Amino acid sequence: MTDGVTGCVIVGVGETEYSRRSGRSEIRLAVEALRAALTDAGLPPRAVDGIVSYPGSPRAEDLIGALGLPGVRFSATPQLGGASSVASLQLAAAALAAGSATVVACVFARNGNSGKRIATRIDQLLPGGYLRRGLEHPQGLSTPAQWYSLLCRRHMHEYGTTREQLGTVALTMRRHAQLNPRAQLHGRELTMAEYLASPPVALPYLLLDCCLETDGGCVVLVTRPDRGRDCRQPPVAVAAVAEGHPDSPDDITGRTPFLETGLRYAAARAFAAAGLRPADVDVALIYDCFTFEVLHQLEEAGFCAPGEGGPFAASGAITLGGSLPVNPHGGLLGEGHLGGMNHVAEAVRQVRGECGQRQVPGARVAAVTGWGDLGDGSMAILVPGD
Amino acid sequence: MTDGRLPDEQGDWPVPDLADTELAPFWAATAQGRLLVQRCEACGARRWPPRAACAACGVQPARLGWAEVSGTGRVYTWTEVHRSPLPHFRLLVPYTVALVELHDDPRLRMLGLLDRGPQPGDLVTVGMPVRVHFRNVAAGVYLPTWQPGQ
Repeated sequence: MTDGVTGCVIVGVGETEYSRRSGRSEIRLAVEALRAALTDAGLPPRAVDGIVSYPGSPRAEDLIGALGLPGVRFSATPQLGGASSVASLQLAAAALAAGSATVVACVFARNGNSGKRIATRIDQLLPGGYLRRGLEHPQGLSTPAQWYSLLCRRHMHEYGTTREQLGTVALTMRRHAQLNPRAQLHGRELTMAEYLASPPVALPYLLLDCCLETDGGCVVLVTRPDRGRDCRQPPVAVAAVAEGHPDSPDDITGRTPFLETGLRYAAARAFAAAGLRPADVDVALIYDCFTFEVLHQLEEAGFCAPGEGGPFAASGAITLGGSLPVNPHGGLLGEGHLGGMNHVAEAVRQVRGECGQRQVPGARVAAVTGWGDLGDGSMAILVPGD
Repeated sequence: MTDGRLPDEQGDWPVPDLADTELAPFWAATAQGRLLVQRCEACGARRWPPRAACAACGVQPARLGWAEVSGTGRVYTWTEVHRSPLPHFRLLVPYTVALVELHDDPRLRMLGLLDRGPQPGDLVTVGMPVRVHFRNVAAGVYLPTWQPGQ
């Protein structure tokens, strides 16, 4: 593996149902999602010899214990918050390239709604604990909505980004979710009037600028191309994957330029490694933890110019049928918050062409972004593997 | 909280650890009404928030010190918080937190509650001049917060 070129393929994706209350343990969710991914790939559980688990999700030991997987010889957890799902693919690729594993399961499972919710979970996972507890909590700042609202406000000031442009993202994700029976908000349309009337959380963010909190599991299986040929599904190649960190990743407040994120670096690395440009992308899976972060990442990844995210979204470009359909599954805002592992799964299914009424016709190049912690970023570019 | 002003001396305020090795001199100074930022004794670079090394010249913690700043600045960005999981703050909502660029050096930005007085939050603007106010939020804890004004 050199310069982000992975030479690995995704052969299975699987998940549980996405709900507000799973009624079962996170380990059970992980096992069910792993079984679903193995069924999708046509592989037995014992084929798994590597496990990359999302921060805070059940660990390799939990899955080895539950399923009896004595052959597991590689385990790891990335530490990039929500950017970890895409970054998991990079760890998987590195393990495969090094010969440390042959089939790696990238695992997300969480009772994110009925269990510990974001505001209480986050403190254990973030970098810079002394800055959080010393300088932010005493000033009343302690949640992602609050941190990122500072970025959103500044972007509005510098570029004239509007409330309605944020609303366009919320409405587009919700509209896409109506085409996805798995989506938590399937069957619940959203109007601009409802969006504008939703209660404030951390202004500029209203409740409907914020993604769902979800119970569920989602697993992606990564292997070498030679192994992928024997699987049930056509392999989807990870053409490139990269992570990136802003300076500084442990703090938003002192960053110069203020709106810099890790995705700026991750996307540049991934596109260069794949030999592709943003204009080559047929479908984008953008980590939509909040509406503004979609606009922000469209800019940071190079899909539009800095400051143009709002007009780009408002033009209809991000809708199915637009020039860059974003999150046909409905995203974290409409399908559910599975840490973006659901974005990887959707990208795989889009490239396979099995997404039914939400399929982007002829999609061959899918870009998946991750956004996490205080601005870490990741990007994977997926293409047909045969 | 009818006039929008922030109260002093709240029993359940999430207070900082005054003995934290990275921040103890900062808190000692705020108790004396002085605002400090980190300064590298080797290259002179000022930095906020403080870190365990100087990113400008690479020196290690032993040669990092402190410099006083004037405590005036402008609002760089801000949020009005309506939901907070923190003790005390969950009852204080809505409140405003501003990121302030310091007049001493606009590259230095400091976070803090904005005591917006009787005005509603939508009168907070980017670029608004503010000055520091050391608020006694618990025994021995003086928090740098911000008030409108030159």
